[in-house]
Order: sequence, then C-alpha cells, then structure tokens
Amino acid sequence: MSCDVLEVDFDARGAIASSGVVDETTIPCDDVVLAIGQENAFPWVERDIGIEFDNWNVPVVDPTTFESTRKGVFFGGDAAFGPKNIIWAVEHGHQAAISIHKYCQGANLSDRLPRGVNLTTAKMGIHEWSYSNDYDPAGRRIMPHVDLKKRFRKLNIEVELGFSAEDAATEVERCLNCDLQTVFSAGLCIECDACIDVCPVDCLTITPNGDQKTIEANLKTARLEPEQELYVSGPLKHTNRVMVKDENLCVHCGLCAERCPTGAWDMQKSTVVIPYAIDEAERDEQLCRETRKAG
Amino acid sequence: MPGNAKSRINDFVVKLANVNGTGSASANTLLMKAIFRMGIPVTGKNFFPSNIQGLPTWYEIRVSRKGYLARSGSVDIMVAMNQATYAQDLAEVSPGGTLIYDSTWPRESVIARPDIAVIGIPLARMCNERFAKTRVRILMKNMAYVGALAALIDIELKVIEKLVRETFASKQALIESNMDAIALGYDYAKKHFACPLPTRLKRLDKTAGHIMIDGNTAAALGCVYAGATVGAWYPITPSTSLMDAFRAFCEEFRKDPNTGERNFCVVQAEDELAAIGVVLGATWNGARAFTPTSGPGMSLMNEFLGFAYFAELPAVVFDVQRVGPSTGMPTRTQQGDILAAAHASHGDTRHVVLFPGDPRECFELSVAAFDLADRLQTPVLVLSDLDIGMNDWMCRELEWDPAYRPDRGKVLKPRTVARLPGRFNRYVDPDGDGIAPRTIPGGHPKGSYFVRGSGHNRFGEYTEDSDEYLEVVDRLRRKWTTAAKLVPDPVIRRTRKAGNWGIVSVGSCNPAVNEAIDRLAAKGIHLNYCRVRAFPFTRKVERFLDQHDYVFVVEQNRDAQLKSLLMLETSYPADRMHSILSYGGLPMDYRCVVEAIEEAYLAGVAA
Ligand SMILES: Cc1cc2nc3c(=O)[nH]c(=O)nc-3n(C[C@H](O)[C@H](O)[C@H](O)COP(=O)(O)OP(=O)(O)OC[C@H]3O[C@@H](n4cnc5c(N)ncnc54)[C@H](O)[C@@H]3O)c2cc1C
Ligand code: SF4
Ligand code: SF4
Repeated sequence: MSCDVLEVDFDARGAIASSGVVDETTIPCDDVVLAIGQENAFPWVERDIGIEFDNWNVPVVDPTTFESTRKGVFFGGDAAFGPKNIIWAVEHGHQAAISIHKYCQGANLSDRLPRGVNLTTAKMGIHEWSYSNDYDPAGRRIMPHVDLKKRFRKLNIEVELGFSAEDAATEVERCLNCDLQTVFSAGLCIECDACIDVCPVDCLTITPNGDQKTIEANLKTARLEPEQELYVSGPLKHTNRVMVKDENLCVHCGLCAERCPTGAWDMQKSTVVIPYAIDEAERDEQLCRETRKAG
Repeated sequence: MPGNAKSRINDFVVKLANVNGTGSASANTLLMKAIFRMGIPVTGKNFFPSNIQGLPTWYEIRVSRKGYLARSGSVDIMVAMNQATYAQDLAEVSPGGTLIYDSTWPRESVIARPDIAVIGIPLARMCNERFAKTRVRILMKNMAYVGALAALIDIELKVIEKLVRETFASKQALIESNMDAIALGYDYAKKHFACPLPTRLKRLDKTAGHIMIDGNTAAALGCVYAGATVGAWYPITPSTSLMDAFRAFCEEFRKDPNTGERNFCVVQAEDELAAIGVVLGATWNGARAFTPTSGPGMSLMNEFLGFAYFAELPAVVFDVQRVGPSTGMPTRTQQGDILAAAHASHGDTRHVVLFPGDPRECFELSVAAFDLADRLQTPVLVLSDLDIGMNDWMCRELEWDPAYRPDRGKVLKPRTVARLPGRFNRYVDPDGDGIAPRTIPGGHPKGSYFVRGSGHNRFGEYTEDSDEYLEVVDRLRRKWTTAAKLVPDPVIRRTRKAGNWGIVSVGSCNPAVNEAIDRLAAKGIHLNYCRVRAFPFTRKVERFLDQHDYVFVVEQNRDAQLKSLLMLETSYPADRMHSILSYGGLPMDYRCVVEAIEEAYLAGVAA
C-alpha cells in the first residue's frame, strides 16, 4: 500500500490549517481493510435553535445531565463528547434517560441519586465461601480463531470459535475474584498472627500505632506505590496495635479470611451501585406516596 | 420436578451432610426429636469424623411408620450443607429423591441429576443478612435448614418451637434467634416451592410409651440404679459420654441435699490400666465400681483383667466398641472386641461378657453386670458399641422394679467372720458352685487375707504346688459353669412358618436382623432368630442351634468372632454356620442380611 507523507500545520484551536505532500512511502501487506472516514457531523441541526456548538462543531453538552444548551434536548454517545466507545455510549444513554425523566417531572436535573458500593459477606460456613476461591494457576486458555485465509475469503465470518467446555471451566477458575474485597473488623481480631503468616504477598502487618513513617518502617513488605493510601485499622483490643494492609500488594486470594479463626478478615463481594432511570422513578413514586399519605 | 410423582408418607430417609464443628448436631437432633414427638418412629445415626472442626460429618434420619430402626441404606432427601462433599452427596440420593443445598452460591451446573429434584435455598445469604456475628450466622444456618425442612416435609412448627424452648429454656435471646432462623428457612421454602413434598410426614401415635435415648446415657443410669459409687476412667471415644452422663446423674442424685457432700467418686486416671486398678481397689473395698472404655483401653487393661479374674475381684467394664485394630477409626462402629473381651489377658482366662442390643438393654444389662460381678466375684464386661452408645435410639420406656435389691453375692458379714469356728479361708467353696465367700476389708481382723495374682492355694497363700494350684483353677472352671446359668438368656424370635434355618446375632445388629426377617418373610423365606446376650452361652443358645440345620451368624467384624466363640464353646458343627459380616464402620443396614440369606436360599433351593 503506498501512502503520501503529509506535512501539516495546525491553527490556534488545533485544527488543520494547511498541509502538503512531502514524500511517498509503501507498506507491504496481504490485504487492506478500509476503516476511515467516520465523522461526527451535525449538518442537519439548525444552528439557530439554541443548541450551541463548540470549536469542533460538536454540541456543547453538560457532562452530568447530558443536556445541550437548549432545554429538553439531550445528547449521548459519540455525538456528545466526540468519539468514545460502546460502553460509554450505553452509560450516556442511562444518564440522559434519568435527565429526561426528571425533565418530564419538572425536577432539577442535577439532583441525582448517589452512587455507592455494596459489600456483602461471601462467607457461607467456617471454610465455605459463595465463590470459587481456589485460584487455578493454569496458563491463559488461547481462544481458537478461524484461519486467516478463511477470514479474508469471507469477511463477515465469526472470528472466535469459542472455548471448549473444559477450557471455559479452566479459564473461569483463573479468575482472581477482584470484586471480592478483603474487609477487616478490628473488634474480632485476637492477634493470633495467622493471617500475617499465611498472606502470600506479605501485605499484612500488625504493628504499634504511630505516625505514617513509623508504620511504614514496620511494614513486612516495603511499599511499591507510595501514592496509594495504606489501610490502617482501629486499635486491636488486646494490645492496642493496629492491622495495616497495603492494598496495592493484595491479590485478593482470600487466604487471610480462610484462615482467620474469628472471622475478623472477611471476603466481601462488592457491587457498584449506579442508579438508573427506573431507580429515580421508584424514588419519585415513593415520595409521591409519602406526600399523598401526609396530605 | 422429576421423580415427585409418588407420595411417600412416614417412610423415608433424610440425610444431612455438614461440616464438623459448625453446630449442626443440635439442629439435626432437634429435627429427629421433632419427628419423634409427632408420634412417628424415627432413628438418627451420626457419622462424625475424629476431628474437632472442618471434616465432613453426616446425620442420617430414618422415618419408618413400621418402626424399623436399622439403616435402610438409601437416601431420599439429602440436605447438602458441605461444599466439599457435594459430589458424593449428590450421587447418594435415590432416584426420585430430593437434594437441598445452600444456593447462596448457585451451583446448578455442578449439582444436577436428571432423576432427582434439586432445591436451592440461599441459607447463608439469609442468615448473613439477618444475624450480625459470624459464629451466630454459621449456627443459625443450621436452624434455617430445619425451618426449610419443616415446610418441605411437614414438620409441625409448634413441635419445633416447643423443643427450641426446652433446649434454650434459660436463654430467651437464643430462643428468639433460633426461631427467627427457622422462620427464614420455612418462609423461603413456602414461598418458592410446592410444600410439602410428596415425601413427607403425617402425625401418628406410634411413639407412646417410648423414649429416645443413647446407650451410654442409659448405661450410666443403670450404674446409678445398681448402686455404683466409684467410676474410674481414661477418656476415649466412644465411651466418654458414659462417664459424662454418670457424673451428671450423680451430681443430681448422689449429693447430700443438706451438706452438698458428694456420695460418689469419679477418678480420671492417667491411663486405662490405672483406671481399672482404681476400680479393683474400690470393689475389693466393697464399693460397686466400673470403668467405661473402648477397644484400645481394653487392650491396656488386660493385665489387670487377668489379675481380677484370678484374684476374684468384681468389676464392671463397659467396652463401647469402635473400629479396630489398633487406634482404628475412633468414630466408627464395630463389634470387633468379642474375642478379645471373652479371653482378655493371658493364661486360662475367660470373662463374663454381656451384649446389650439397644440402649434399654444397656440400662438393664448394666444393672445385671454389677449383680453378676458381685455374685461371681469376677470382672463382667458389657460390650455395647458406638452405634448403640452414641446414637439416639427409640426404645420402650425404661422400667424399674422398686423391690430391686443389689445381689452382693457371697459376702461374709463381720459378725459371721467373728463366729467362724476356724480360720477364714478366702478361696474355699462351701457349696459347689465354684464361688468362695469373700470378706470386705475393715470388717473383722479375722477376715483379712492377701489378694494376689500369683499362684495361691485355697487359703489365699502363695503356692507353687501343682495340686494346690489345680484346686483353685478347677474351681474357677466350676464357677464358669455357674456363670452360664446366671447370665441373661438370649432373645429368641420364632416364626410359625420357619423351617430349619435360623439366624444367630448379637448387639446392635438387632434392628437390621429384625427388619431383614420381615422382608425375607414377605419373599417367602422364614427364619427363626436368636440374639445372644451373654457369654458364656446359656443352654438356650445351644438348644436353638441344635434345633436348626443351618444358621446364619450375623455380626459386625471381619473375622466372625461370635461364630468363632460358638465353634469353641458349643458342639454345633462349624460347617452349618454361615457368616454374614458387616464391618465397614457404619451402623449395619438390613440389606446385607437380606441379600446374603436370599442368595443362600436360592443356592440351596437350586441344589
Ligand atoms: C472503526 C471503528 C471501530 C470501533 N471499535 C470499537 C470497539 O471495538 N469497541 C467499542 O466499544 N467501540 C468501538 N468503536 C466506537 C463505537 O463504535 C462508537 O463509540 C459507538 O458506536 C457510538 O455509538 P452512538 O450510538 O453514539 O453512535 P453511532 O453508533 O454512530 O450511531 C449514530 C446513528 O445515528 C444515525 N444518524 C446520523 N445522522 C442522522 C440523521 N440526520 N437522522 C437520523 N439518523 C442519523 C447514524 O446512521 C447512526 O446509526 C469503534 C468505532 C469505529 C469507527
Ligand atoms: S487476600 Fe490474600 S493477598 Fe490479600 S491480604 Fe489476604 S492473604 Fe494477603
Ligand atoms: S487471623 Fe484473624 S484473628 Fe488472627 S491476627 Fe489475623 S485477623 Fe486477627
């Protein structure tokens, strides 16, 4: 494939001011897939209806409410802040839906339900957990693909052939369960040192409480990420020392919780809570009921 | 749901798979007691590991409207509460059965079988949400499955509540949390599944006049009733609860109400040999004394058992048998000590052995053991086993004759000793039954004598003279003949249609043998049954054998020990005895008896 080499000048806002061909180059390839030419263009939006556009000719959109400068007109996806990806497009859709709901209710668009993280214990018994905590150190399963030649012969073919049941099972067991957080209850700890002893990465330390420097000096493993805060528990009931954890090192293996005789270390499933339009609607209904009852 | 077409009322097995040390035992006993209180015959077998915490444990509850108490060998409802044994527990469910598991971690892909119904209940999740403390959550999860089962198999909630109230009478908070947990399981099951299952309970009135009791408790009560005041022991599974129960009964009944003084003595010795030493000292001094132990402890006691036999000291030894040889499997059941008990210790030594067949007999034979020990002036060994000793059995209420007076045997009162014309001769038998009158130390100086395990003559003096020695040991053989007249007769069950085939069995085989006889009768095979209750064998045992051309000897050991004793001690031909042996360590199930006899029958008919 032969290409022209361009020299480009940008103007003050970063747009191309002028360009000229200065050279030519050839890249050897078997085949070429053309994937250029998409553009965020809004020639169909009248410019006099109160929707403002910025330098890049994309609409000015509020990052929380996704409302444009014209009330009641919302943008999302690539149209909102320029090219992103599908995940963002979906998220924008959710957020815009909340705004539209509020707009229809005549409510304040910026007054939104808080986000949060829910922690629920995964403990089912003394040594039983509601997830597979037996990490399988097997290597990554390689996804089998359709042969390259076949793919080029038939461009809309499904490239990934999928795992065999056995490979899928192995792959799943490689999961590190990072959604399970290692949560400490200082009040339960009897300072038996079992967790300190079992932690494969030595990220736990029980040490006399003190300032950051003293605590850091006593860590079993020196910190790799000085920016990340250490977890320091409240005072332990027998000696007033504290449990310190370097979250940066923790691999969430759950061994501390597995071994802890009192359940002071617990593995808790974390669920990120992001409110959707339906949650806002439910809240409104509830408010409505309460007002009606009160009235 | 597959397999739920046929309704099974009051005739099924629920098995609970748990992790040892999670408090499941109390939940499981509660379940069994609740069924019992609904008037339905029930039996519970605990298969627990020799471990404090973490290993798998199972509890098997058999509900049988016909009152069968043996293991049936099949499982209709499995409550799988141990992730580590899911695969095994799943495989054990009978086709058409049900498996209940904790779906806090949903495992539909792992726990599945086309021919059974799988019920998932998020027990841990519900308890984690409801209770704050880790330990409480784990305990309450057990009560939550009790609640779920109450809904699924129709256990009356008010019966459960009453039991909970009785169990935690002094702790109101515990009653509440337990009932809360039960409600969690109950409500969830009611809401999500068609309750009750076709396999379920229906109130009956077949438990009137019966109690649930384990053999060790019953034996301990027997010791109290028989007037035992001294117990010496060294703790060993599965006999430990016998001494625990004895101590508890004594604290209640053997304490002076005014002074609080204990009129009993429990000594934990440094080992089993010391323990029986303490017992012999006590019985020599006139007390009724006993020691509970198991096979390994018996091995250690051998030296003193021989001493007691030769010095003619009464003693009662409970051997709650477990799986041998050596340390074996401490928490599994077997009847492997029959020969070792009969011949414990070196030389020409034979001991009186009693074989209770259920907890009620543990009570009765425990009293009999003390009387026989005193009457025969010799150790009496009561051989129960882990199945009888530690599992709750449904038995007829214990009965007691208030007219009972302990038989202290030939004991000379100090007055009598004082009036003796000549000297007191410890080992002279005045009336030919082989038993010489003894004295209790401290009575009258004239009654004193040396107790020795070395060769002695009729006066108790040391001897190396053949004739003097022979006189003593030949008298001991006469005493053995007397023993055979005094020990309990066998229990014999005859059937009108029976031909000349019989079964001889012993101890905890009884429920399995009885059920097998019924089931074989339904197939047209009729047998008589003799359950031996003592060694030496009484005349009735010998007569039963003689009346049958062929007998099956059913016992729980590898080496056919009861059969060996029958070969040694009776004239019945060995080739007409056929052994049926079950010795894997789990309580016997009736099927092995049915299968073996059916096979022999078919072979016999064909021949
Ligand atoms: C080559 C390429 C590869 C990519 N690969 C990935 C990837 O692997 N993973 C990933 O997450 N993202 C990827 N992206 C980005 C992703 O595709 C976009 O971010 C996403 O599709 C944006 O979604 P959207 O709904 O906002 O816009 P679009 O999907 O572009 O939808 C806009 C729609 O509006 C229609 N439209 C335009 N004008 C009008 C009009 N006047 N009237 C009516 N309809 C009109 C268009 O026809 C179009 O259907 C890729 C993008 C490109 C270009
Ligand atoms: S989860 Fe594993 S790595 Fe993390 S603190 Fe516990 S033992 Fe250490
Ligand atoms: S194992 Fe548990 S109790 Fe022991 S020191 Fe660690 S947190 Fe504390």
